[in-house]
Amino acid sequence: MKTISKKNLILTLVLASVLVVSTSAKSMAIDGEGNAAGACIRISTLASTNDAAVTEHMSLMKTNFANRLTEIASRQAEVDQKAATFRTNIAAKFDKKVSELKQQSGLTTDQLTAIDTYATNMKSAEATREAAVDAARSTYRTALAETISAHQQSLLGAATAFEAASTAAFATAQADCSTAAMTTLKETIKTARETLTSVRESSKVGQTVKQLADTRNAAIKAADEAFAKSAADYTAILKAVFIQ
Amino acid sequence: MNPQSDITPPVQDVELPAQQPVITPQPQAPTPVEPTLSPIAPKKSKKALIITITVVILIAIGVIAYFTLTNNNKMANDMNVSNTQNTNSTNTPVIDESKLTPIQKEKSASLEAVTKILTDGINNETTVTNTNDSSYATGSNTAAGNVGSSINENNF
Repeated sequence: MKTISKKNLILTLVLASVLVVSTSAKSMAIDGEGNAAGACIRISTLASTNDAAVTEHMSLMKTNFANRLTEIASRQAEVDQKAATFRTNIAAKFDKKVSELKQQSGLTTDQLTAIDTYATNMKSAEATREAAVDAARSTYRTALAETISAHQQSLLGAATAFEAASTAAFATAQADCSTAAMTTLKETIKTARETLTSVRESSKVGQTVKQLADTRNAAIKAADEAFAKSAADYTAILKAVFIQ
Repeated sequence: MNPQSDITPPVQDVELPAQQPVITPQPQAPTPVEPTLSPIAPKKSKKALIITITVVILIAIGVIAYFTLTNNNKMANDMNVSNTQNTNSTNTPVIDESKLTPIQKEKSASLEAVTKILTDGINNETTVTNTNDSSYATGSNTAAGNVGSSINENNF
């Protein structure tokens, strides 16, 4: 009695195991078909979503480029306007002060002549300085525009290449629509981004722009110092006559 | 007659030696005696010279003293200007302000103020002119980077 029960139990367990294994295998076959279909749908969804995202950022990038050019042009116009105002104002103040000098009582003819000579020389020195400063500024702006144009072309080319690579990768994955296609898609997108990053790194112009500005500033400083030297000389010459 | 005896021998011209003049030694003239100068004469000349020089020096000192006393202010001003008008390598007068009179200092300051109008204006202009556009580069690069970041394959 006890022995029969054990045999029945073993048989029952074996049958139950066979049933479980059989059911699991059938279930696994059904899930495989479902995954393939799901991946196809998911790739299609990712394609539309990411294509839209890339298109949007491409548009934002182009707008950003245009805005920066506008900002630089606006800043340059502002600089020109301020510089012109400064020059007009100091020229008027200078003329007024020179006129006051000449109106002092008791000045000799030699002293009046010396004041006129001083004023003429100072204005000439200032004109020379302004020409040098304007030239330095113009040279800087031309070089800056060329640098920015080349930089933006480089970035635009790299971003466009990334956009084309990602679009092609999604199209390929959608056509394949297999589980392996997702892996290939990921790798292609990653490689395309790395290429874009590489171009961004190699085309950085921050240091170039800084060097251009340094060159401009050095030229302006030299022009200012040359003017200061001339102004000191002309002032000393006038003093020698004026203070007697 | 002996013909030979008829032959009169030619008279030979015999050149007689010239008679040497007889030099009679002349009596030597007495050596002139240098007249000795009287010691009184040079003493008078040196004294006159010393007196002349002394007078000239005194006159010079007097002239200098005269100008110093009567034209002291003008001379002082002139000396200030001349002392300060050393020239540098470009022949520009170098004014030593410490040697100027108060009035001269005031005039000097008024001139400096005129010059300062231009130099200050230039400094202001330069401050505005020296823009920094390097921020452009960073912004553009970020914008391009956003294109690449618009897809995140890790979320696929």
